[in-house]
Amino acid sequence: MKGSHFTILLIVITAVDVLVPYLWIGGIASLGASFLFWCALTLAVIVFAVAATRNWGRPV
Amino acid sequence: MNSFFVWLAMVIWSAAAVCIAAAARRNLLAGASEFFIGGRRLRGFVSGMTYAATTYSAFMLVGLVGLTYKTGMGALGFEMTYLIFTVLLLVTFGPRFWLAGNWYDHITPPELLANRYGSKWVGVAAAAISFFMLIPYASVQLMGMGFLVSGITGGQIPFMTGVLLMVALSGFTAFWAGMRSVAWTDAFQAVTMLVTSLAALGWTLYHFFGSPAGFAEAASKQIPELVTFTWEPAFFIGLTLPWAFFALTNPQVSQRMYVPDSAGSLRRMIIYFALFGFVYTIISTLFGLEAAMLIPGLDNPDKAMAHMLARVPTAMGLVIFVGIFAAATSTLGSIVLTLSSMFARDIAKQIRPGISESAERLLGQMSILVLLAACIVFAWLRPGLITVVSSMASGGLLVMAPAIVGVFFWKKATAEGALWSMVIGGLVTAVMYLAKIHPLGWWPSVWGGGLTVIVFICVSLLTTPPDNAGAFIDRVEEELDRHGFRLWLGRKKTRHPGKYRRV
Repeated sequence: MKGSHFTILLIVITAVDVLVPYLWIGGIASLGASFLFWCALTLAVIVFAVAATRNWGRPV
Repeated sequence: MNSFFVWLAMVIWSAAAVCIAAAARRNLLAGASEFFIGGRRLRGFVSGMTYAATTYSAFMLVGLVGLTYKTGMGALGFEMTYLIFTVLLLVTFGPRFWLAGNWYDHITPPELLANRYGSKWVGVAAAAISFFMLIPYASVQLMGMGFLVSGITGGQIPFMTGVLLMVALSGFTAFWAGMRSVAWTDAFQAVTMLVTSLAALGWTLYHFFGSPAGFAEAASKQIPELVTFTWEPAFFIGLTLPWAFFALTNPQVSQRMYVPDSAGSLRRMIIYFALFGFVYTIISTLFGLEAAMLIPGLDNPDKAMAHMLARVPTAMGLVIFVGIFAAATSTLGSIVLTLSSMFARDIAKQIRPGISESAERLLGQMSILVLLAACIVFAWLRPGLITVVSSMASGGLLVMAPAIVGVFFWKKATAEGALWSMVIGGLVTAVMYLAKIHPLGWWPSVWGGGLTVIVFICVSLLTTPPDNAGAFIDRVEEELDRHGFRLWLGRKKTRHPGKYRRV
C-alpha cells in the first residue's frame, strides 16, 4: 500500500473507530451496540486486507 | 484445584512442545539467519501462528479479562483498535520489511534502521531501548505464570516452580533450534490457545447462561454499565496509542516480517494472524463479561480468570489453564530469541564486525541463557518497579515508530533525526512513567510519542540525509511492483498465478 493511501485509510478508520462509539452508540446498554460495532469494523478491515492483497506473489 | 492434575497438564503439554521443537531441529541448517529467523523459509500458516502466539500473551486471558471485568466495552475497543492498526501496518510495511530484509540479509529490525540511516549508532540505540523495555515485560510473563500456578493450586505448587518450568520450556525451544523450533512450537501453542479458549467459552456460555443469546440478554440486564462504552478519551488514547503501533515498534513481532518464504506466505501470515486475533479478542472479552456476572465484586480484577477456573469442572479448568500457559510461554520464548539476535547482530557484531556467523549464533545462544537468568532474578525479587517498567514497555517502544516509518517513506529522514528522536523521546517517556507524570491528564506515551515526532522531523530537516536514502526508497517502491505487492487498486488482473519465492 502506498504511504498516502495508508495515511488516508488510517485517518478515516481511526475517526470512525473512535467517533462512532463516543458520539453515537457508546451509551446503548446492549451487545448490539459498541460490541457489535467494533467487531464489524475489525472484520471489515480484515476482509479489506484479504481482498487488497490477493495479487501478492503473482507476477505482474 | 488439585496440584496433581495441574502438574499432569503441564508435563503432558510441555512434552508435546518439546517433541515439536526437537522435530524442528532436524530441518535446521547452518548460519545466523537460519537460527534467528528460520532462514526466511517459514510457510504462511506457521508464520501467522508464530506471529499470533508472540503477540497474544497471557495478558489476553488474564489482563484483558480483568480489564473487561472492571471497565467493560472499552477493553474490546482498545484491543480491536490495536488489531485494525496491526492489519493495516502489516499490509503496508510487511512487504517492505520482507523485501529489504531479503536484499540486505537483515536479521533484526534495528539492523534495518542502521542500514537505511547509515549509522550503527541508530541500530545500537534501537537495540538498547528494546532491551530496557522488553526484559521487564518478559519477566512479568514469568511472574504471571508463577502467580497463576500458585493461585489455582492454593500454593501447593510454589510460585518459583511455575516460573522455572516456564523458563525451562521457553529456553529449550529458543536455545535448541532458534526461530524454527520457536515458530513450530508457537504454532502448536497458538492452536492450543484458540481451541482451549473456544471450548471453555462455549461450555461456560451454555452451562451458566443457557445459550449465547441468553448470555447477551443477561449482560444487558445485569451489567448494563459494562456493555456500554464509558472510557475517558485520555485513557482510551493513552492506552491504545502505543499498542496501535505495536507491529512496528516491538522487535519480537516486527522481526517476523522477515520469516515468510514467499510473498504468498507473507499474505497468509497476515490473514491467519488477523483471524486469530479477531476470534481470540472476542473470546477474552466475553470471558470478562461472564466473570462480571458470575463473580461480581472482586477487589483485584486480574484474578477474575482465576476465579472462573475455580467455578468450572477440573477438566475444563485445566483446558483454560493450558491455554494461558501456552500463551505466556510462547511470548517469552519469542522475546528472548529476538533479544538474543539483537545482542549478537546489533551489539556484538558492531563491536567486533569480523566475527563469523557461527560465533554470532553461539553468542546469541549464550545470551538466551543470560536473558532467562535475568528474567528469573526479576521474577524472584518481584520488585514493585517492574510492573511500572513493564507497563511502560509499549509506550517506550513507541519512540521508534517515526524512525521506522521514515525508513520507507521519508527521503529527508536522517540518522541524527532517528537517533535523537529515540533517545530524547525514550528518556522523556521513561521519566514520565517512572515519576507518574500525566500533564493535562494525558498519558506519557502520548507526550513521548508527540515529542519523538517533533524531534525526528526537526533534527532531520536540520541535518543531511544519507546518500543512499533516495535510492533505498526508490528501489523498494520499484520492487513492490515487480513482486506483485501492489494492492488491487488500479492494477490489471493477471491470468498467471505463479509464485515468487525468494528475492
